[in-house]
Amino acid sequence: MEGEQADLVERAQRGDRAAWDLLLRRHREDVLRIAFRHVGPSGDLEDVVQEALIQVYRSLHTFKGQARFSTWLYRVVSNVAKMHLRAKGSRPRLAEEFAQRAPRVDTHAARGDDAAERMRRARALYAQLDRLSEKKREVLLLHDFDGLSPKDIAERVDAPIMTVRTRLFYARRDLYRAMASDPELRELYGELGELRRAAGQEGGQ
Amino acid sequence: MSTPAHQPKLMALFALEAGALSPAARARLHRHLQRCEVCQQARADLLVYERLRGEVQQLSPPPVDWRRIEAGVEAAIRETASGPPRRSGRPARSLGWASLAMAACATLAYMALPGRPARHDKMPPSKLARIDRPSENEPVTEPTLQRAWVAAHSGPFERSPTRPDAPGHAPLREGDRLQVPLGGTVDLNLGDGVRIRLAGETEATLTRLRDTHVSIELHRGTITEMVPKRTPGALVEVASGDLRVVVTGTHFEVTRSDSGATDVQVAEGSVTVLDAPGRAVAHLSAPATWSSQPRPRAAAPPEQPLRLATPHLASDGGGWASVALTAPPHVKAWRSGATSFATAGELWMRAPLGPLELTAEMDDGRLVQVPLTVVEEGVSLSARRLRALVPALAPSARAGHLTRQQLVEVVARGRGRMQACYEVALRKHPDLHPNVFLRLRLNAHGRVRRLAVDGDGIPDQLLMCLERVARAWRFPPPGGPLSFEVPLRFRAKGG
Repeated sequence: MEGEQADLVERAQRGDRAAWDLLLRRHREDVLRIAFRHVGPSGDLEDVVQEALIQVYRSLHTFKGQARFSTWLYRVVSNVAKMHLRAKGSRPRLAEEFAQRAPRVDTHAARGDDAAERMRRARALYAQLDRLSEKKREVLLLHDFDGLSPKDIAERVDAPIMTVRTRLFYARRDLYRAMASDPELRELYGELGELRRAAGQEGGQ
Repeated sequence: MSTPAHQPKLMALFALEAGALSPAARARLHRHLQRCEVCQQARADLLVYERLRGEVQQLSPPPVDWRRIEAGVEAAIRETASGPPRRSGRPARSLGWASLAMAACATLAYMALPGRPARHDKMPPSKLARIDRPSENEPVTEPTLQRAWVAAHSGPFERSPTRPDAPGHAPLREGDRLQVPLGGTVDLNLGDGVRIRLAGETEATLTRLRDTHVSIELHRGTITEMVPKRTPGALVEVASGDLRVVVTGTHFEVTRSDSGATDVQVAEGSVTVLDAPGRAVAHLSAPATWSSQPRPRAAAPPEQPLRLATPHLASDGGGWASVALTAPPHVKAWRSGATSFATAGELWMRAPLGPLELTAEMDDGRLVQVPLTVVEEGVSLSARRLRALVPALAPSARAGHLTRQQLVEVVARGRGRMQACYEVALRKHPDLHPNVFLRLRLNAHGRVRRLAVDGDGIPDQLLMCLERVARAWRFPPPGGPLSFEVPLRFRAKGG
């Protein structure tokens, strides 16, 4: 499989369109997953995926086969997602605000609808993640959301393991502080009181 | 003197959650937690985060429109003239020139082959002489190959024969066949200022691209052609079935219908229509229209001056670069100088380096100026970036509005059909009780412009059925784009 993959990449690098098409079909879901992990449930996801695929095409010649293709792909896609988040951070967020003001319609059982509420909570969490620095955010996503070990993260982000651990600690600390000052997130979850009691009770054990 | 606030023992709390504390340290921390409200609060926050994290981990990406994404990628790839940059790291532009040289060599080799098919060879030389073609007795210099290229296109098009080294924007060759789907346009420059536009649903072959003879065979659809006054002996023609429309300097349009009929409109100058043996069937001087059906008839000058499309004029040399724009949803057409492009998603054009004035025609009638600066690397802007650059293109500039009641009424009318979708899916999946989340975007007329269906474990059959139902919804016109979300919870009847 690895040999076949290497052959496919090499053919695509030589300008073989059929090989590129196959490569695209084979990895587009990976690109979507990486982009989704970075930007979260956002209306910009399709734009980011498209930009990332274009960047993969343009950067294909830089893949030398020294790292795994998945690692290289992750770096390319995550860089595009980071650029997107940077640009987003420097622009007025008309679309986001509009989306938040948009009417919500309930049909069968609107209140407490699980999927809808989960999606809202995820958006709120990503809004907090957007406050973190790029490096901290990336390490946190890889560790806490993708379940990667610090060693694997170090390879992905090209940094020493200790640096990864340090970034992870400060990322979590910053995130908790941000969450603590976000009443909407608490309201969304609606279980803080219960969790607090649980925290106290467990502490008493 | 005030005491500094107690800082929560975050490091220890992380370690506690990760199960990384020794029994003694765990006991110490638990004792501390019992009496420290700050740390209890911190731990509660941590538990909230843990729950959220668990939820987000479970979320899978929403379905995306791969067709649209791949079309965007394809358009960007076309910009890179000769495939992905090679390992040598040489810039794509230099490779583009290399392939241009190779294409020229290949075409010259092709021209040298005996028995090569050429449209004009079928014509009797004596008849061709009638239309300023050099006679056989005159010394004839070898006609040189014209440089021809795609100047602009809105929407995708197909070019054949397909060659891996010749993507859509590579120099055109004799024998190239172009197919433009409905809603698109392709503008070609065929050298010496000859420019043509292939309208939507048009198929044509470039049969001859020489300085003395340019010939296009129209298989179906419409070609609009602008030909500057030609030097004596230089010929431009459009072949449509057994007829040929021959010009020396004009602005005209030829349409070939599926039934084989040929219609000609002349806005400037004059054209001659020839039949298969080369006899003149009609001589048309602007303004004029002519049709081959029901039978060829004399030109009848129209009362009003004809207004034909103006194909884009562009150079394929230095000082020009490509501009690729994905039109935001409310842009109906683009204008650049005298040229107008109906949008079919993407506009690609060659433009001179420096400032470029484009005008977007919005579907609400507004004209929005889009000032761009064309740089050597070209300009490529997604719809989102364009909206960011030019706020007037943003839908939020005229956000639509509907009351909650208006939205609920339409959605409620589709409830029965959605329930039917669910019940059909239930036959295959008896334990199906999904929570579904529809994200809709309406246009100014109340039609569903974008739709995404989110939710965990929704079978494809149910997903497609719900999409069909939701896409058919017709809301009252909101007066502008409007986005909203519809959460649905499906449960079996009696369940």
